[in-house]
Amino acid sequence: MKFSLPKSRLSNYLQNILQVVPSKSTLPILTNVLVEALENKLKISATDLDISITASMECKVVKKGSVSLPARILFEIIRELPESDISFETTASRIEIKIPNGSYKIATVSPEDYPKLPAVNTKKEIKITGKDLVSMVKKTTFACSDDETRPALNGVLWQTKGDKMQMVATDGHRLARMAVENKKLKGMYDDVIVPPKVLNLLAKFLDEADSEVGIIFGENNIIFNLGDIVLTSRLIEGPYPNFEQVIPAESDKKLVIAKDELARAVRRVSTLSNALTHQVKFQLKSGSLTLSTTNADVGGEGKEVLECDYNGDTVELGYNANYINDILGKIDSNDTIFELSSPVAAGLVYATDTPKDDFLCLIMPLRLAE
Amino acid sequence: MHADRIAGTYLFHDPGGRGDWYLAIALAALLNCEQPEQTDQPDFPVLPCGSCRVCHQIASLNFEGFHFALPISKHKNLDEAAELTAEILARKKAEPFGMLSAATYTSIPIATAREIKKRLSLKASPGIRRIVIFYEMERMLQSSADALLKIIEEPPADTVMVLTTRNPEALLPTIRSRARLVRLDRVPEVAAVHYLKSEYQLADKKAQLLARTSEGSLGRAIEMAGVDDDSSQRAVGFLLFRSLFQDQSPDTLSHMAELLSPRDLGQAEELLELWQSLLRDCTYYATTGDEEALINIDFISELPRLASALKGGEQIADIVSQIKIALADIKGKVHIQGALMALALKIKAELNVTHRSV
Repeated sequence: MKFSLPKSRLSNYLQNILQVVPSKSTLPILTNVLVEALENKLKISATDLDISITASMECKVVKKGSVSLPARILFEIIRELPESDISFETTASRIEIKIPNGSYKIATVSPEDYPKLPAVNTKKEIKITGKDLVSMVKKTTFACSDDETRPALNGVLWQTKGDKMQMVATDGHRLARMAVENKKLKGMYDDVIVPPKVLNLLAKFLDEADSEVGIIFGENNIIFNLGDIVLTSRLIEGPYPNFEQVIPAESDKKLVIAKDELARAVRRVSTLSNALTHQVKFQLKSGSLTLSTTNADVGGEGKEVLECDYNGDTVELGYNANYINDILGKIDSNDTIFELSSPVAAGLVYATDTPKDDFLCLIMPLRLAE
Repeated sequence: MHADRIAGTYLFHDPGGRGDWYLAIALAALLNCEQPEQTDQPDFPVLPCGSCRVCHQIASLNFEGFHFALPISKHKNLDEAAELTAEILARKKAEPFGMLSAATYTSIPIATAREIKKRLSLKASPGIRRIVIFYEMERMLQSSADALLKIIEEPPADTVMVLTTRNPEALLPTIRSRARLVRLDRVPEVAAVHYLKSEYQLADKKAQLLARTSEGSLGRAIEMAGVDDDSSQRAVGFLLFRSLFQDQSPDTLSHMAELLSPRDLGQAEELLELWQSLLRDCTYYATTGDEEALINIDFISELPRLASALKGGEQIADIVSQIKIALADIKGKVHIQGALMALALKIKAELNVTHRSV
């Protein structure tokens, strides 16, 4: 195998690829990358067995071939090199990296030892706007659970519903649901549960918001084709719990409040909240919201009164301040709406400028301490 | 074993060095080989080819379907746990019959089990049968093992769980009842001799000695093959055993303190297992006078003299029982040297060496 390409091109792709390479693994081969020199193209792949990534780049290939070599060593050498063309050539069991003023040699492993990566069949590919995808990912993945006893909740449910597709995530304490219009997926696929790690990685790579992403839904995996980068992830076994039944159809109390003002007040008050529950009390009275907390451990208490648009009965509810702020951080409008009923029922939170069918968060209240 | 009649969870019972690891890896190859070979052996109608890409990956423990939970020493985080696990895997790759050291207290971390559980919730790659190996399961906290009951009872699709243990009784009954128990027989002496000669280039006589004295544990035979004769643990163990019969002074106890590490559980276990074996030989010789069937043939010149010091069934049963109790005690984290010294005193009292010696 023999090829050459500019340092900056290789370095940029390696940086992306490294995000999938585990720093330590019980399977040593996973700390390697697979390098394949094809017709005028170089492919570098990495996998942690859950997520795989392949980057393809233009390259001058003198002799085709493939090899597996340690990812971090390769990256650290390339990163420190000055900008120039770098050529690579394999010998018996090593690869030589030639630069204008020297060379490096790294031991290689047979490409046969590298795990088989899923094939990309572009005929089954469906194009989706990157902007929609990133938006759904950014507004839902935060609510995923990390409790291994409920594995389905460790992922994001991606489903098609009528003319819309939606992503849903919940950890049992809060839920986020975002839907966008997309007729291409209409009725074509079963629901899939996608690990948040690959979705977050995808959002990071999709810097051009208007670009299109090719998606291939497999039986066990999902493939995202970004052109020069292909991301693959194994899917999580279902079924996903019936989340619809926890979303209240009706709520008799509605609060509209300035989002940033509320977020800042919650952050301030929560500094004195219980370190475990982060509980902050919301007391709603006509025209005002009082946030308060007490902490016996540090002998402190905090209280702030905010103006708001509320005309219902007086009610007191407890919420985890972190969950409230996570949700407020995902709302784009200046004001936010809370739909509430009783102190033990789920509350809905959504933006004033987006229909709640398109983006909705749900939060479960905490039982207030006596 | 038929690839299409595979249980969801196996429990391999291997008292040590009989090949539980080798069997687990062979099972992975059988289930995943790309070109399995048909045979005319009724017990093994299909065998892995050993040469395809997947067989090669499995042999080098680089197969994507593997998930390992091995007993490791204390560590700070998952990365360090992965590093310690990788070290054991490298040793297992080099010698699948090799036994894990019992010298330090190790356990299967709950974090590793959780991580595996989480990864198993992802769908398997097409065509892959995942093999999850919980090695020496008794070294996992019971509370942690409890958390695995569900996947042990009903592993995810395309997944086979392999639990191994040296002592099934040490596992939760709920785990035992959910797995298909496979008890590994002793490795036949002929097979052990062949292995030692071919893999370690041992001379015929030494290979036979090790195969015989290891009593069906190829792992132990390999361990002994690596020990220099002069510092042989066996030699030390035998000297201490002999001094139980001969020594009228308290020197045995001071020798023990000098020769045995106060923290080396593995060394203490090996010593007591050797004593059990020597006692069996002495009993057998005292009863039959037959030297041919003795196991510890490296001490054959001295065993008849020691056998003559034994008084009979009741005394021997008492000593055997004391050794068993001491073995259980040292595994229960009591002070190792203290337990061994107490045992030595009891055996001496049983043998009444202050009044009679050989």
